[in-house]
Amino acid sequence: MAILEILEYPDPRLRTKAQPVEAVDNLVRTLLDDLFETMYAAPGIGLAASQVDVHKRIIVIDISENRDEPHAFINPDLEISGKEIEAEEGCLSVPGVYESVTRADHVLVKALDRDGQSFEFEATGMLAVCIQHECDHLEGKLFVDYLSSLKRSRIRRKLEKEHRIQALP
Amino acid sequence: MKTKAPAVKVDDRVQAARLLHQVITVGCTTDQAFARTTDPISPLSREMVYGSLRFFFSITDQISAVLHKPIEHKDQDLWALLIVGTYQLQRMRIPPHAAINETVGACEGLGKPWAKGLVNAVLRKLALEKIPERTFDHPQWMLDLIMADYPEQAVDIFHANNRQAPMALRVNRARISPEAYRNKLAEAGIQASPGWLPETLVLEAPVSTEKLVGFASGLVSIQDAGAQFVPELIPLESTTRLLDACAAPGGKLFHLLERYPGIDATALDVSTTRLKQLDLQARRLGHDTFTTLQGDASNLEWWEGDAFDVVLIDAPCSGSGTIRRHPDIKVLRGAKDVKKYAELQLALVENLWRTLRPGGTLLYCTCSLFAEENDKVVNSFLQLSGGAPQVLEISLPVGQATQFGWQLLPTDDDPKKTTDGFYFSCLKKTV
Repeated sequence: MAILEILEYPDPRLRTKAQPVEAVDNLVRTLLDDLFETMYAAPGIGLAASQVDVHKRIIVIDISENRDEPHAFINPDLEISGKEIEAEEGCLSVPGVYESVTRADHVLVKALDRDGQSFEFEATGMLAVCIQHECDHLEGKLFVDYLSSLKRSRIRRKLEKEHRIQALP
Repeated sequence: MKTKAPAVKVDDRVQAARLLHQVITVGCTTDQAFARTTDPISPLSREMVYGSLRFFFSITDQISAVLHKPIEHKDQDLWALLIVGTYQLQRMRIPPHAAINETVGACEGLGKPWAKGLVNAVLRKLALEKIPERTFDHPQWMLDLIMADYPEQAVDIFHANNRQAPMALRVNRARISPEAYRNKLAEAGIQASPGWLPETLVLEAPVSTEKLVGFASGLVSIQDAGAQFVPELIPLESTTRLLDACAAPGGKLFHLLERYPGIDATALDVSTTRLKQLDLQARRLGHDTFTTLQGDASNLEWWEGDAFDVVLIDAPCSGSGTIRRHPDIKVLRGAKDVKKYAELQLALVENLWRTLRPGGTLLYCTCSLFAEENDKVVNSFLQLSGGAPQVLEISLPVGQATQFGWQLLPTDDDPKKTTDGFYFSCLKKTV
C-alpha cells in the first residue's frame, strides 16, 4: 500500500472527466487500498481517484468517527432525492478552505464493489453529502464551483500563493 | 472530502492517560471513551489503555505503596498517567529511561508541568521493584465468584482473562466460500487458520477493518469464535419464524441468516441507536430479508401476537466472559451489577417464553462466566414455570456441560482456537 500525492486546486488535472472502470482487477483493488490509505492518512472522510490523478470512476469514503466504516464505490451512479441540506464542506484538494454548500439529503448509489459485484446503497445526511462531493470529482467538478466567483477567485489566489511559497527552495 | 476537525497529533501517553481517566474516573467503557475522542487513536495509546486496565489492580497497588499521599480528586488524570507509565515500564518492551522520560514529558500535555517531579520519582522507584503476583489482577468479588463457580479451573481462568484474545472472523457464506476467502486473505498477506466451524477463521495477528479484505463489501464479519456456535445449537428450517430478542449489533442474527437463508426473522432491540448500527451492518453484509422492531423485550407491547418457532435471547450481561477484549469490565463492574443483570435476565426469559409457540425452542445465552447469570437464571425459570420447559442437551467441540446447558471458557490450550466465555441453554416448550 502506498500514500499517493493529492492534486490541489487550481491544478487543471482536477478538471479531467473520469472514465468508467472496465474490469475490477487486482490493479483496481490495489488502487482502492491506496485510496483508503491516502484518505485515512490525510486525514479525510472521502477521496476520489481523480484527486490522485487517476481518472477512473472510483471513490472511497469513511465518515465514521472510529474510522471503521469504509465504503468503496466503483462506477457509481447516483440518484438524488430528498430535501436540500446545507453543510460545511472541505476538500483534500482545497486545503484549509471550508464553505457551506447545499446538496440533496438522500442518494441512492448503484456501483460495483471491490469484487466487481454490483450493489445498491442508500445514504442520507453527511454520508449522502460526501458521496455527492466525491462523485462531482469524477466529473471534474469541485465544491468551490458552487461558491460565488468572488469567493472562488479569492480561494484560488490564496492557494496559488501557498503553492509558490512551497515551491521556494 | 474533508471535515473541519483539527488534525494535531496528540502525544500517545497524553492520549492514553486521558482515555484511561475517562474509564476509571468518569466510568465510561473503553468503547465509549474511544468513540468520544475526535482525534485518531494511535495503536500505541490503545495498547497502553488496554494493558493498564488488564493489570490495573497490581499496578495501582504498587503506585499507592510508593506515594506519600493520595493524588487529589481534581488531578485524577495524573493518577491515570502514573498507571499508564507503570504499565509501560513493567509490561511493554520500552526501555525504562524512555518510558520514564516520555511519561514525565506528558505532564506538559495534560497542562500540569508541576507534576513532573512527582511522576519522575514514582516511576524511578517502580523501575526497581519486582512485579507482585498476588492479585491475579481481578477485583476480590470476581475472584470469589469465579473460585466458587470453577474451583478447579479458577487460576487458569484468571490467567486467560489477562491475555489478549485472538481476532476471529466469520466468513459470509452467503457471499463467498471460506476457502476462497482464506485465499484472498493470503493474497493480501494476512495469515489465518481455521477455527471450530467451517466459516470461522482466526487471524495470526489482528488487523484493522480497512485492511481486512472484503470487509466493506460484506464478505466477512468480526466475531468471537464462541459466539459463532449459535447456528449449531438451533438448526432452523427455511420457514422458521425466529425472534432475536436483544438483536443489536446483529452478529448472531446475521450469522443465522447466512447459514439458513430464507428464515422469517425479527430483530428486536430496545435502543434505536443500536438498531441503526445493526442496520448499517446489515447493509454491509447484504441482509435485507428480516424485520426490525424497536421495543423492550421485558414487556410485550411490541408483540403482535403471532408466536415464534424459535426465540434467541442473547441477554444483556456482565460480560465477564469477554474480559480479554474488555478489561475495563474488571474495573467498572461490581457484584451488585451481577445481581441486577440476573434479575433482568430472568424477567426476559419469563416474558419472552410467552411469545414461543408450543413445541418451539428458546436459546438463552450470555457472554458471562458466572453461574448466577447462567444456570441459576435457567434454574429459577424452571422453578417458576413448572413442567412446561424441557432442557435440551447441548454438546459442542469445546467447553463443558453444566446442569442446564453448556459453558465456554477463555482457557483453551490451543491459543488459536480459544473463545470468549459463553453460556448457552436450550429450552423446549412442551406441547
